[in-house]
Amino acid sequence: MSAAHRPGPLRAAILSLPLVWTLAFLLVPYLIIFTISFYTRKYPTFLPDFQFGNYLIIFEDPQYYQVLWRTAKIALVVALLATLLSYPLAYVLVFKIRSARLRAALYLAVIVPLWVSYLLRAYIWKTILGSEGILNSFLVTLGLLDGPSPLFLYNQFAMVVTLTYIFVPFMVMPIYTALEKIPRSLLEASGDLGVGPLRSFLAITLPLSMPGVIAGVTFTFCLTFGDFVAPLLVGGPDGQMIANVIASQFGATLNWPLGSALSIVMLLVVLAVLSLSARLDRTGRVELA
Amino acid sequence: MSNVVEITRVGKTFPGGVVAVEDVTLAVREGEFITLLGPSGCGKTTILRLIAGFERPDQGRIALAGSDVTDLPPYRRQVNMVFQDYALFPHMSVAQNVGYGLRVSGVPRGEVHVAVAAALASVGLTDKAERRPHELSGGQRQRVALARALVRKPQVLLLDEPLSALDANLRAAMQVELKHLHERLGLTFIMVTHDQTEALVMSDRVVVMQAGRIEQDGRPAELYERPRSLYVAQFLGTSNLLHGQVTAAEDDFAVIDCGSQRLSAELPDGGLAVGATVTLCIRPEKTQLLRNGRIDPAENDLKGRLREMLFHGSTARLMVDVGQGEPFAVDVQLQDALTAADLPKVGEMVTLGVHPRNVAVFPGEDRR
Repeated sequence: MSAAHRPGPLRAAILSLPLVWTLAFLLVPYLIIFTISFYTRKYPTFLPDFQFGNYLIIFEDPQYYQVLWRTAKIALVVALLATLLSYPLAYVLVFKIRSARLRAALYLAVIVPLWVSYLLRAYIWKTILGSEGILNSFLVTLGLLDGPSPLFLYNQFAMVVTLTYIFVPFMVMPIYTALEKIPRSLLEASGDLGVGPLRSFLAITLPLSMPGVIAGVTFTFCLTFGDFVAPLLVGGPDGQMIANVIASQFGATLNWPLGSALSIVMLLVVLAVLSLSARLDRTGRVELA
Repeated sequence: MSNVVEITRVGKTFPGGVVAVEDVTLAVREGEFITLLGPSGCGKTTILRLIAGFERPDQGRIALAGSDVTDLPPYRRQVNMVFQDYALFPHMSVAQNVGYGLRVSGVPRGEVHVAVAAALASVGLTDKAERRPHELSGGQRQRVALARALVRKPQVLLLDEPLSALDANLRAAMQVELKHLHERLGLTFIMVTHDQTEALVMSDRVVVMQAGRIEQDGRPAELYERPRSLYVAQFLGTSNLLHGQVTAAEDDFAVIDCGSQRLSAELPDGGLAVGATVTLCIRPEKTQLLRNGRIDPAENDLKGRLREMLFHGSTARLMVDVGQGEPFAVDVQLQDALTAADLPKVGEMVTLGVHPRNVAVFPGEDRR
């Protein structure tokens, strides 16, 4: 064995920090949560145990499986809306903006909100949609409303709008990258073979940009699925999502075992989406030589 | 024969003011194999893209088979292109690539299948129909691109540097194959290349371009033997250049003083004024190595010292210092009566003979 292959003390020191970090702040917490999810609750505390009651509650008690279902629905709607908004945007940026400088500036304009606090970006929708908000005063000024309407805020609509706004950059980035990688000569070849622009888009551009769409949908779905802030700020009584329910189990309700079981279920949903996305990406992946 | 492509006074300037094509007029006859030849940036590819419809000209008209297509998009033109990078659709199989245009324009499935099979057979790729492009070699990809362009039976086949991505052996084989394909199909081929050998070997007609303009156009042998400008003479083949001044001139004959050497030249294109500065251009294979001091009084003789001998097997190239510019290249055909051992040694004085008809004279200094 040469000296280069022997793990020296320096090398061990460099590697140990991230290892310790991963262990202490990721693996160990997961294990703790996983263990507690089998405990029995005995108010105001809980006893070590191994039983599946907490998981059963989630799928028997409507208040839990409905929240899960609602969260999934909202995440799907947000992913869909973000795709519908981002694809045309990315397409125009890549194919229609001729000037490279303008393209870079517009792309930056889409991305730059990511540098602003997430909380702030969610909060501004409270100001826009609220009773005293911009939307209301605008509609009243136009005469479309007699007085400010409370209907825009504190419901699922407000959450979907807020989350879509927040996650659009995560959708634009991968789609933009995927579109940019498509060689222009492929589209020229399609036209050369007698195929018009719309059919060329459907047969060439769209399938070749699918990896970007899949990545974007995965990002937005998973991020929305685990979101905690938007329901808190702009969601109403029917706007609770799974993360809020979990938080309350660890807080006011003081039911750690159920909270842990919910966390594990949530983790499994996200992992399922990730592995599905990875599989789709593999089958759809093509060599852009 | 009728003209299948007519380009009339076409000009194209790109954003930023780069003039790609300037006042080009070109007619391509049906069934012709024509090559646009020139260095990169000379506008040859732009002309091809103008014919295909990927670019619109700023001035001039383009007609295909007698009808004006200047304002038609690519998908309404009866021409097909073999792209330099082949532009095969990576998410489709070879058969899907070839059948793509037919399929999308609504040709019945059965007919597409027959046409694709025939096209793949014509390029010898029947057994690769279900492969994806990335599973093929460069040469195979090129054949797919060719089959895909031919399956629609275009009026004109456009080839953009079709062989540039292939290695040297394959390139030579594909040159011949493309030439045979052209003969078999009787289609009009328009090819773009910067490789003079490719142009000379394959084409019926070569169009030499420089800086967006056509410099000369003609049969390969005509261009090689009677270049109209120094540019064409230098671009095609190897040329020895000598600079000098005209000391005596008649209608079709001139004597040029090149410092230590004095040469006479035939002038088929008219006379030169005495005192004019000229550049002489002499091909290495049109120069003889004179042995035993044999001098034909009708020929020019150039004396010099042999600086280097490059042995090529059936030929040898002698580099001779003639007292001006670069060493003068002379090609000697080796044979039974003249083997490499019979050649003069490096450092010896040699005498070269050039017939006046093989001395091409161009006005002015070398502009290289």
